[in-house]
Amino acid sequence: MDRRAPRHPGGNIEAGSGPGGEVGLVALARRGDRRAFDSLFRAHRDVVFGLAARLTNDEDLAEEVLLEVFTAAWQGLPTFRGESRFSTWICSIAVNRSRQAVRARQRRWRRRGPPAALASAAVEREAPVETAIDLERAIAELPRGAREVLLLRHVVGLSCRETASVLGVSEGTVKSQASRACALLRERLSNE
Amino acid sequence: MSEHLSELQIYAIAAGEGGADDVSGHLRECAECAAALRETRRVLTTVEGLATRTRAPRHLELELERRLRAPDRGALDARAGFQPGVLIRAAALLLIFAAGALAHATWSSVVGIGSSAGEAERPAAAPSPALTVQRAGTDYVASIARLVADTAISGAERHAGREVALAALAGALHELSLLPPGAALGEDAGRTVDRLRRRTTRITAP
Repeated sequence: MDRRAPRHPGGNIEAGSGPGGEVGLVALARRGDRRAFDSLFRAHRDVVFGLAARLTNDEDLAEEVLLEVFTAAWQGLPTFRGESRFSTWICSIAVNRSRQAVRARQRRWRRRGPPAALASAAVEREAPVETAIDLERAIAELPRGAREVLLLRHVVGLSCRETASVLGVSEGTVKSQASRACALLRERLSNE
Repeated sequence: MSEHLSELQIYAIAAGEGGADDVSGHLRECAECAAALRETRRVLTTVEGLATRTRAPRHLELELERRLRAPDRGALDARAGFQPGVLIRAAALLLIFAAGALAHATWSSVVGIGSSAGEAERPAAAPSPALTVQRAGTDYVASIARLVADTAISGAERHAGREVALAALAGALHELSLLPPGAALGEDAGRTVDRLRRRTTRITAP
């Protein structure tokens, strides 16, 4: 089986500069069109929330990150030049905000200790299939770099080049981290 | 090639980034590498399937709108942690309010008195905002009571009724969060309702 190029994230918004296309919506949103921005939000919220939830292992934190990401995107749109896709740009913000949220949480826990009701590291999903739960837990336990690459490449669907751009690393590093993630997941899931 | 394929090679082939032709002979002869490639493809297929299994809570759209309307009120504070007690109390307060509105309206209709202390001072055509909320809350609770009591409706209708009731509750909590001092309370209670919606959908979806 030859795996094709990654999917294009963005919900059901067409890539393109027409009125309903992402490029068109971004252009409108940059001029202050809130409805266009709301469309972009609806198209990307699930992807960004899923990314944040898996990077932070905390759905409450992921909700805050999601809001922060799109608030920052609205405020930063005038500076978005369209050199990358909107989804790449929004994922870049999401990764940074997720990292900040995790660091802030670690500082709190160092001061006060983790909450007594801390659940397991993996976020629970609506996962009737046991394999999916095992996979979520396995992903949560990956080293941070490998987890970020795996999620951006194979859950969000960014290309190798886009993933490298979001994370500020080389494409070689992306491939290396992705292969490491797969090897670790293979090993972990075979031991279940 | 007598040595096994590297993890990088296996990943590149599994991810469709090429290299399969160069090592096809080895893969035919090496069961271990062939198994590793099969497993890696299976892992990637499952990982990619996660993309469609996560949904952001829908009430966040309202919250985002609120923050974009008033950016100085939208600054995030680092959450200390999730406190279920606060959420339960918030949801209970709203239900008590709604029940109280129903009881008050019932009592008012029985004894024939106005339902607001200040109503006598207002023109009959312009009910106070509080009275408007009270009446709406009464209707809301009564409609849910009818949903509960009606044994003739289908499970799907009951489920749909529950969904819209919870959606209305979430909307009300959002609006309540705009009234001081309840901002954090409203947001936390909104998350409680959203979790309840997810749980009830899993348990009872037709």
